[in-house]
Order: sequence, then C-alpha cells, then structure tokens
Amino acid sequence: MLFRFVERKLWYFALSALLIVPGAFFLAIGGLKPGIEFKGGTLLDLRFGSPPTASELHDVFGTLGHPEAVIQGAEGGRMEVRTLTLTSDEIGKADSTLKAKYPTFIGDDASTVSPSFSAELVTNAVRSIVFASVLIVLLIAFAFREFGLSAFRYGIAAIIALLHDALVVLGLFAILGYFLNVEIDSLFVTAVLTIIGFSVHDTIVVFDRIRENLHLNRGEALNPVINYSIMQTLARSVILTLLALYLFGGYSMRTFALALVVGIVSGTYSSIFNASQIISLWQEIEDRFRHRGGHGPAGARATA
Amino acid sequence: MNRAWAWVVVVIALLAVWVDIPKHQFPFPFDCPGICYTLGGKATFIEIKTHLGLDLQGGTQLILQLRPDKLPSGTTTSIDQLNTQARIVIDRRINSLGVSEPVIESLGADKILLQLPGVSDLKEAQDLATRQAFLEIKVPDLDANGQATGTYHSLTPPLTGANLKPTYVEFQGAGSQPVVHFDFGPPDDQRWVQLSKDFLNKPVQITLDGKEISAPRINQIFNSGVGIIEGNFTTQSAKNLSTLLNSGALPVPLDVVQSSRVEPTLGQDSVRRSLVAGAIGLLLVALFMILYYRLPGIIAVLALLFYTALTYAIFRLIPVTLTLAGVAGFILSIGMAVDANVLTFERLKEELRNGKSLRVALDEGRRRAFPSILYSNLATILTALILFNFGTGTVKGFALTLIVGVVVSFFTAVFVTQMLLHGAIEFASLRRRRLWGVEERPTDGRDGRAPASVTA
Repeated sequence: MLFRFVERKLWYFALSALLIVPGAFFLAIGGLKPGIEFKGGTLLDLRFGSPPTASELHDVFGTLGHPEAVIQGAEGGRMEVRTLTLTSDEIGKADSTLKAKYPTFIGDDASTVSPSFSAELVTNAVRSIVFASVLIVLLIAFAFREFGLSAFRYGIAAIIALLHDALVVLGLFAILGYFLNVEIDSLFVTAVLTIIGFSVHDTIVVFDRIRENLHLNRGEALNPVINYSIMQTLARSVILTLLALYLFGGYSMRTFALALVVGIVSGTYSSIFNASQIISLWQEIEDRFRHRGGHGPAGARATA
Repeated sequence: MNRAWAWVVVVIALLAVWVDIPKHQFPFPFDCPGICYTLGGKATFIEIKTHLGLDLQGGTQLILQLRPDKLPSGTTTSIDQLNTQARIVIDRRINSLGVSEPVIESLGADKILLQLPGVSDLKEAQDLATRQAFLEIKVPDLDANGQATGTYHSLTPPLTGANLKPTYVEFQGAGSQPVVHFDFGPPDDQRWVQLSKDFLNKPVQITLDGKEISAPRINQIFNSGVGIIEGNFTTQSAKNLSTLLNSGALPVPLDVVQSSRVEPTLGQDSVRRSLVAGAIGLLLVALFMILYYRLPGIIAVLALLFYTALTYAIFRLIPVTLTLAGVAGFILSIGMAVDANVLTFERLKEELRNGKSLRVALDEGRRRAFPSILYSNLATILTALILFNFGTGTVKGFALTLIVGVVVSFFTAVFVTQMLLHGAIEFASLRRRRLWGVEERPTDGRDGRAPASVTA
C-alpha cells in the first residue's frame, strides 16, 4: 500500500493555509498579548482559600493607588493582578492589606519587569529565532552538500516547514490572547524554539531518507522516491509524536505544555505533508520552466 | 578492544549511579554527601547535590542594571571592572546574611543576576543589593591615662571611605613583606594627618557597615593621606584586606530592572507533579519499546537507564541548576535519545527483512541511521546554543539541560546501544530472529528501492 503523499500536495498546502490564515489574522491585529516580561509592569499571582470577586480586588488596588490593575481569575482559587510597575514597598503594602481584609489569603508570587529590560528581551527573542533559522539552513545545506546548489532547497524547505509550525503556534496564542487574554512569556519563546528544533529534527529524518533513496535509485523520478521515503519514516514519526505528546501533555506548566503539544503535532504534519512536497513542487516548477516536461530526481542530476 | 570499551561503560555507569544517590537523604552507608578524602593531612570535601532553581525551591530573583551614567563624570573604571566589583560587594553582603547557594552572575557587561533561595522578602533583597555600603574609620576610646581601652567611637563628622582611593597590595622591606597601600583623597587626607597626630601609637578601627574588618596601629605621623597597613600578612591575607577596603561601597549605583518572588510551596508541588509525570512517561516508553522491538527494545531501555543516570550525574557535578524549564529540556532530550534508538532499530528491521545476517544488519542499520541522528541532533544543539547565548534565567536553564542531554543521548545511542546489541549477538540463544522483531524467514525485501509500479 502506498499513500500518495506527493500527488495531493496542493490539498495539504491548502489544509496548512486553513490552519495558518485565521491565526495570522489575529497575529496581524495584535492578538498576541505580551506578558509583563515583554512589556514591563508587575504581575501578582494571589492565592486564596476562597477568592474574592475580581471587582472587589479591583477596588482594593484602586485604594492602593493602582486603578489600572487588571484582575483575572485563574484555576485553584488564584487571582492574577497586572499593574504598572510596583515598587517593593507597594507590593509589601498590597500583601498586608490583602492579609488584613481576606482571612483566606494564602500568599502570592510577585514579578516585576522594567520596560527597558523587556524591550531587550523582545529583541533577543526575535534575534535568536532569526539566527537559529539561518544556521539551520546552513546545516542542512551542508548535510545535503552532495546535491550541490540544490542542497539549499532542502534547507529552505525545512525552514518553510519550521515557519509553518511557528506560525501555527503563534497564531493559536494570538487567538487565545485575543479572546481569553492568554499572555506569552519567555517560557513561550522556549516552547517555540523547542518546536523549531523538533520540526527540523523530523524534517531532517525524512530528507535523509529521500537522499539515501535517490542514491539507491538513480534515474528514478523524484516523486515516487519521496512517497516511498515518507512511508519508510512514517512509523517512526507517529511513534515519536505520540511519545512527545505524552511526555509533555502531563507537564504542569499549562501554556508551555499547550504550545509544545500543538507545535509537535504541527511539526509532524509539516514534515510528512509539507516539507518534501515543497521539494517536489520546486522540482516541477523548475522542470516546467526549462520546458522539459520530464521529472528526473533533483539530487541525481545535481551530483552528475 | 570491544571488551575494554564495555568495561569503560560499566565504570561510567557505576560512577554515575554513585553520584546520583541522594546521600543527604540516605546518610547510611555513605559517611559524607560528596567526595571526602584526606591527602597528606589535608582533608578535602566536595559536596555533590542537585541544585534546584528558584522556581522549584522558592526565593527571590533580582536583575540589577549598572548605572555608570550616575557616577561623577571623569570616572575611568571600565564597565567590566565595575560589574566585577559590584558582584564582590553583593556577594560579601549575602554571605554575612547566611543565604545558602546564592547566584550572583553578570548578564552581559551591564547587568547582574541575583538569586536568593529562601529569601521571600523582596524589600530586604532589594536593600541588600542596592544600598550603598559604608566604610568608616573609628578612633579608640581613651582612659584617664590616655591609653586605648579597646573600644572605639566615630569622629564628628565620621571619617568614611567616601574619598578613599582604591587600595592595593605592595611588597616592602628586606623580606618583601606584603602590605596594603592606601590613599585618602582630599579633604580626608588632612583629617587623616590630624588623626595620626592625635592617636599616634594607638590602634584605629576600620569598620564596614559597623563591623570591624581590621584594627591597625598608627606607627607614625603622616604628612599626607598616603600610607600603608603592615602586619603579618601573607600575600593572600593582604589581598583580602585590600578587597574588603575597596569593596565596601558599591562602585556604581544599581537599579532593579526585574524582580520576582516565587513561593516555595508552589515549586514543590510542581516538582512532584513533573517527577510523577516523567516517571510514568519513562515507564510507558520502556514498555512500548520492549513490546514493539523485543530484544533491541530491552537493550534500548538499558541504554536509556544508563543515559538517565549519566545525565543526572552530570547535572549534579557541573552543576546544572534544575528549573521547571530545565526539567522540560531534560524530558525533551530523553525523547531524542529514544528517537535515535527508534531510527536505528527501524533500519535494523529493514536490513533483517532484506535477508541480511544479524551482524551485517547491525552494522548496516547503524551506518544508514547515523546521518539522520547526527544532523537532527546537531540542529537541536545549534538551537539550544543560540538559546543559551541570548536567553536569560529560565531559557538558559532549558538550553543547558537540552545541550547536555542531547550530547549524552548521542553518545548513548550510537555507542552504548550498539555495544549492547553486538554483545547480545554473541549469545546463540539471543540470535533468534523472532527476538529481533522480524519473521524467522526473510521475506523478499526491496532494499529501499521504490516499487516500479508507482509512477509520478
């Protein structure tokens, strides 16, 4: 049995587009909500035996001189309060006020980030993602150097698959941010970078099979070789994905786990249904451009 | 040669397990939690333990920004020197407070990361880090006969270290005795000259934040603010005194740019949940590998145990501080270790189905799986290195555990697993093909060839 992975590539691209476009829309209208790490301010994570209402808490922070406080309920009797930057004195005052007013107040985590520092974090996050992408293209081009210039095709296809996965996750969090005020923090950046690593990892395994099969079947057309290679790596991809889902699904950091799980599913999809198809499409366009109509394997010709 | 390597792996495994045993919790039969030995009458003790990050044990984290722009103009000290001096000052203050295992690191040239496990008072932590310390010279109380009584008092106004230039160690006299050179800038130089006249042949007390750090005797009348402190110094003790004198006050104002406080109870709860999730995950992985791959699966599980023990031992030795994100990196690297085995075994099965003998199939399987393992691991390491370079705190911890994990997993997958597989086929009873997850009779395989019937 051979699944026709390559022939239906436009359908798979369409499915990816369907997943990415709504997320991209919310990304564009600023749905992604940066946490205080990225925009500066103070986050108090208050814990209560039985929590007061949000408007009650808002009044408390109003009397403390912070009417800008945004209150949000969280699971387990926790209330999250976001304000402009609080001094340590103000945090202490808020603690004692809450303690006096609510007997079930247990305690809180407090984090404060100054706006200048957060700007630096954003720059670093963006820079590291760009830098990682460039290095990965170079690494893959090196790994596939026997294909000559076409090796960059594999690198670029891997990066497109990687951007696909990053966009799926960013889009999801833009939507969550827009409707549910879910914020992103540096752990989210960690998750995105992990997904990038995982995505490339998966793609390289498939590409390596294609390379080997092109070697073993010189003269064979590219598309059947791709189909066959994907089939051969399918068991491994599915096993690994299930394993990764299990390992990270139980993880106690919720947004981190969600980002990873979605990213890993997307990474598996893109490495099976997108990455190699891009190579195939590229080859077909090139063939058509050269008015040859044939479809010799890219690598076999490049090395000849 | 093969046998020698096997012993190396066994020794590494035993050492790793020994390092991993939590000797703090189980003191018996371990008489010391780490490495203890006595060599030539000199006892040495190197403690080994798991370092937990703030999010796992609770505490306070501050990121401090150096503000050289707030210094008086004309200051020539470089930002790197300021950073080092500021960290020395903060370190000393923390030590006097008895915080265990504080982290004081520079984040780039102009920032300092400060983590105080167990300190939950943000205000106290900020004070500790940003207060300008106070070096003061006190003069002796005199009794009726003009003799020093051993107690000291401040001058009015107090003679402080505000105008004291950086001190240094120099060597003087026939025996090249180390002494500490100091220099009071104006107007304190005149006060120092006066003080040396008033208290000749009497001790003065040098205090830092009210605590005595030295009480030298004045041996001569000075005619400037320049002088030396002598005593029975070794080079080291002279250096220490000089550092103390220099590092009393922060060399540069510090601003707090990030502060966070983590409640330890939250941390402990998270640790437990993550550990349980991780343990169940590992168990399921082991079960799956054995059921799906049979004998190679069992070998992979052994290799995985070796991997886990070794990685954890490395974390304890380096030491790598474990945070929640770090544990995630660790788990991810376990996934990579399993993947390397799965890749190899899938190839092995193919080769066996193609009718190759076990020995040939093992070598072929490894040879053909190697490029994917190498390049996919390299991609992960590259990403992690970038994270380590650009990231702070959590992200760095994640990246470090991932790098260590992937490197060890690569070593385990291509070396230890292979060794065990080759060891297994030495035993005739383990050579039955069914144990290796394929049918007893080879089917006619295609050896990676695309079927001719399928067209593009």
